This record gives sequence, structure tokens and C-alpha cells, in this order.
Amino acid sequence: MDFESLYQQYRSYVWTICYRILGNEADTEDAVQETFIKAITSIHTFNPAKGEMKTWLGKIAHNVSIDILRRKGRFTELKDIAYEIDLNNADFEALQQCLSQLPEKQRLALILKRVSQNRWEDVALLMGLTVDQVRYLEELARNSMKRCMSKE
Amino acid sequence: MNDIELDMMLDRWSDAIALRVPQEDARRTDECLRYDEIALLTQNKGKEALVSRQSHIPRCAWCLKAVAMIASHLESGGAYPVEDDVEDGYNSQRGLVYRANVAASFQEEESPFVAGLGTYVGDWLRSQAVPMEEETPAFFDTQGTLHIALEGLPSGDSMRVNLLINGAPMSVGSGVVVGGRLQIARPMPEFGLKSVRLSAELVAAEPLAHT
Repeated sequence: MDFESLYQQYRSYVWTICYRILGNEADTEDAVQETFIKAITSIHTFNPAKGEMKTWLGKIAHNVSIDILRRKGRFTELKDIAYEIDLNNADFEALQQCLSQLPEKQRLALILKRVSQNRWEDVALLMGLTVDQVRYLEELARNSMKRCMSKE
Repeated sequence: MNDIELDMMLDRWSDAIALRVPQEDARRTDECLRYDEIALLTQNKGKEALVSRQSHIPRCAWCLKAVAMIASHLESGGAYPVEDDVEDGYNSQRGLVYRANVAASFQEEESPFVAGLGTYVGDWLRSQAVPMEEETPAFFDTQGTLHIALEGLPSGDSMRVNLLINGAPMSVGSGVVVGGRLQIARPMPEFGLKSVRLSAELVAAEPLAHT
């Protein structure tokens, strides 16, 4: 396995997953590094029959990011984290505000669905839940977002 | 707001984030360890990568973190708690005790490569340690044994204790939380740290099952 090529190929994908969970670039770079080193140390557990390399890396990235949040004691305070992204747009500000108010798992289901290009099976793998569970969480998130965005 | 409007906005937000992906990690230079080299090091091979970076690694946060993760990986392969002289491997006086051969993977020169990693980790720890004036959650005693005692943890949970080497978790032991307290005692004389303490920020516990 050429791990340097693997890194070059999937770095952007891993970065976007980590960034959407962590919300800042410094922690995201830490998470990307940890993701690829953990992938190296656990490559023997990768089973192509169970899913693509991309999804497997995404799951590691998800777990690493959650671990970083926990390590920093931020897991339950995620709503207080301001996203660095400056979209210079009032609608996006409202969107981010509403996203930050969602319960953790709902928020992850909503954003990971986009990272995974609407593949529910991948979202379920990333979050370690069933497809039905992530669909339910995403539905709850959508309803909350629509309510919140209507208020903002 | 309806579903279509929400989807459009989320898509635009996602696209905006995707556009922010940096081309490279600014902390990772051409001198840094490559992932292929890291892969070899995790198999206890390719130590020439360490030799050729002798002057770079101690000054590089990215490499130091990688080294800490490799050391943790190599070392965790054999770590297991010993049922010492009390139930469940927990000794009220000394906390969880580990078999000598576990610590030996770091200290007894079984592998020059592991010893090479220990050098970097030891250098970093020495840079962080301060003279001990009072008992603290993490300290090296007069024999070079690292003692860690963490409070306020969920009783009954199995947790791993990490040293955070430049933010990278390096496992130093694990055990079951008793009465909200988790204690670890681990001989680490190879670091030459005696009667010094570490900042509480350098120690973290995490649930064993999670990683």
C-alpha cells in the first residue's frame, strides 16, 4: 500500500469531514494527521468487501474528530464553537447559527449526508449507526433547521 | 423555509467549505516523515528515516506528534493490566500495575528502534517537566516511575490514560475507574525523569472502547 499516495488522494475528503465536525483549521489539520496514521496502523482491518477505502477513511476521520473534541472537553459545548468560515452572507450566518444549535448526532447526520453525497449507507458507516437511525436523525435535523431558519 | 430551500442553502454552505481545503498542511514540510516511512516505522522497520531526521524531528511539531503516535502504537501492542495483589488488577496503593515486560518495550533496549522513539518522547517530556513541589495528578517519583491519578471520572468505566505529546495521545496505561478515581503507575526510568511533575494539561483519559 502506498500510503503517501493514499494521503494525496483522500486528503481533501478527510479534511472536509474533520473540518465540519471540528470547525477550525488547526484542529482539522491535527485530525487529518491522526486519521492517516491511524489508517496506517489499522490497515489490516480494512475489508474492501465491506466498503470503499474512502468510506473507511471517513469513519476513522469521524472518530478521530470526535476524540479530539472529547480530549479538549468540547464535546458538549460544540454549540459554542464559532465556525471560522467567513461566508460574508447573512443567510449563511443564520444557517451556521441554526446548525450549531442542533444536537450533536443530528448535526452530524445532516452534514455527513452531504459529505457522503447522499449515500445513506456511508453515513451509517461513518456514524456507526444503522441506516434507519441516521435517516431518522437527519429528518429531525431538517425539521429543526427549517423551524430555526424561519425564525432567524 | 421549505426542504428545497434548505437543501440549496446547505449545498452552497458545503461547497463553500470544500473550497477552503488547503492544498497542504502548512506544518508538514519536505523534511517531515512521509506516510510511507511512518508505515514502516509502525512495523518496527525503516529506522533510517529517524536517523536521517535526527536534527529535524525534535524541532518539528508534526513529526514529534507522528513519532508519539507510532510509539503509542508499538507500545500498546503488549500492554495489559496485571491482577497484582488485589481484585481486578487495581492496587489501592499503587493503582494499576503493569507487567515489567510492558514497560520493557520502552526501556530495555530490546529494540534500538523503539529506544530511538523513546529518545524523542523523553526529550519532549523533559522540556515539559518542572520540579515537584507538591503532589500533583501526574509526577515521576524518585525511581522514575510515572504516577497519574485522575479524579472525577465515571466509576466502573474502563479508561485509557494518555500523555499528550504535542497534542498527540500516547497511551501510558489503562484501568477501571474506582470511586471516581483512576490511578496509573508505570516505570519509565529510560526517560531519566525523577521527582518532577507534569502539567495536568498533558494528561487525558478517554474511554477504552472508543478508539
